Amino acid sequence: LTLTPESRAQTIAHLRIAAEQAERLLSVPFDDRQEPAPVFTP
Amino acid sequence: VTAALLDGTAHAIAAAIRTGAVSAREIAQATLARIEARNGALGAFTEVTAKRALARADAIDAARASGANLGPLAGAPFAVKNLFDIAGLPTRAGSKINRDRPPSKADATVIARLEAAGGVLVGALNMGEFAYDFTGRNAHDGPSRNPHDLEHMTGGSSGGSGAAVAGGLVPVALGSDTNGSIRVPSSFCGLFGLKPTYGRLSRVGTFPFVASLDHVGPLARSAGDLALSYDAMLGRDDWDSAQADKPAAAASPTLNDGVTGLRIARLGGYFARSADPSAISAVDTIARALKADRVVELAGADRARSAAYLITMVEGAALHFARLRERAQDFDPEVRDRLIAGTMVPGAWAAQAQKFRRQFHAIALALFRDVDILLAPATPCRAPRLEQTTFVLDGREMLVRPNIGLFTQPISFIGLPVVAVPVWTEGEKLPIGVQIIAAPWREDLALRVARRLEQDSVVRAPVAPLS
Repeated sequence: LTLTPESRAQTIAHLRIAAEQAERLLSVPFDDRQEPAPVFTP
Repeated sequence: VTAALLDGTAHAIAAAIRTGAVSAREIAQATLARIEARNGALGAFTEVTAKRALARADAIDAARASGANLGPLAGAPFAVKNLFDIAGLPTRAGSKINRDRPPSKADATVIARLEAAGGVLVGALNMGEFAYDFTGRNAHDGPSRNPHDLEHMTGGSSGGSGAAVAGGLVPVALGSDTNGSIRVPSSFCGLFGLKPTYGRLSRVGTFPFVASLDHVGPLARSAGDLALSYDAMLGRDDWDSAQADKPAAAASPTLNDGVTGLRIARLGGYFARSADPSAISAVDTIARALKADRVVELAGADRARSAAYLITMVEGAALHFARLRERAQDFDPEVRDRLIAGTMVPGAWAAQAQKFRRQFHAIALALFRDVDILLAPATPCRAPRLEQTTFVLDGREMLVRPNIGLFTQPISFIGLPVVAVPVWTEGEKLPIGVQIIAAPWREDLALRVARRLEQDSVVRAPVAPLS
């Protein structure tokens, strides 16, 4: 996948938003055995 | 008479056709004429299936003449977001790339079911590219425009669905909702919108976006039409692997049962923080009308939104990876760059997001032991202007496109059924929506509440006064 110059700035901006979102989630403490391979069912 | 019917409900159209007050052909012809007259301003339709609609209408008129049962939607027109397969047309999903696909061989399951119930398909509707959108803008087809103010967004990604129903082109349209794409256009265009429980309605014959979050559902100008079309689409479809093994529970029989005995609370915390005063005031209006004094917290909603955001990035990027490599230049740049970013999201983040899903699901189910209905804003504000790219929420300037779904994403993340209802404030040109949220598989309760509010004139969805 090639990241062209015209995509670079926006792609970085979106990754920055993703990192902000991830920070909230990575602070959730999960036990190692808590659903190690999640499969969603409603 | 025909014009008044087109401004009314699918229910009323079907009743008029059943009694012979009007023919299905007259309704189809009037609908096609209205699309011709108004679509240029609204950007709602991308394809009009006129020949098919007239043939279907003639079949309904012939069935009536022979005394056959016409079905609950007898002759009522409907249209679908252009990610639903329509036999004979390529399924665009709002993209330029998909126009090169071969025409679909069959209709999506839910189209077939609406037609089996007497509905008349009149065409396919504009949408944000590959459904990765909350604005209703489309780089290839132009934007869908809000019928209540053409300079404002319809919301997306089911933007054409919002424009078509609010503009009086059809009484019912189908949309899809991964993170809010039915509820956002319902809010901005002043409509009723139903996002059913995840796994409730068949998605067979629809172009996917994020399979673990994708839902389909109707937008309409009345709660009754939501129930009517929802009931017609119910039923098992073994080809959708996410479809739950649940009995088809029709909502229409209990629609008028009222709200007595229902425990209703509004969501505070996260759902009150980042909303502008118009959104808070809309929830106040609904809560007051329902005498819902209680405020409860859905703990972890902010993290749920983050998790939905990350899962969307990763699954969306995975779906489009080959297209990004081969035809990057044919994407809408706004969509392409988000998808490219998604290809670089660490797997650990996505796995953590999925783990959190189960935890948040458990929190929500515990809350529903104590309440039946939750109220929350559908969008953080009224429809922004079409060219607007940022807004200020909670004191922070944010990008519009990825952030309109702040309040819808945590709810669809765990697949809860929601009806969005439209609230109008005197003196305001644009409406705003409120989410009526129920426990899994209780679409009937959310629809009952919407119906009660409609009967009490607390919410309404008029056709926009277009010339």
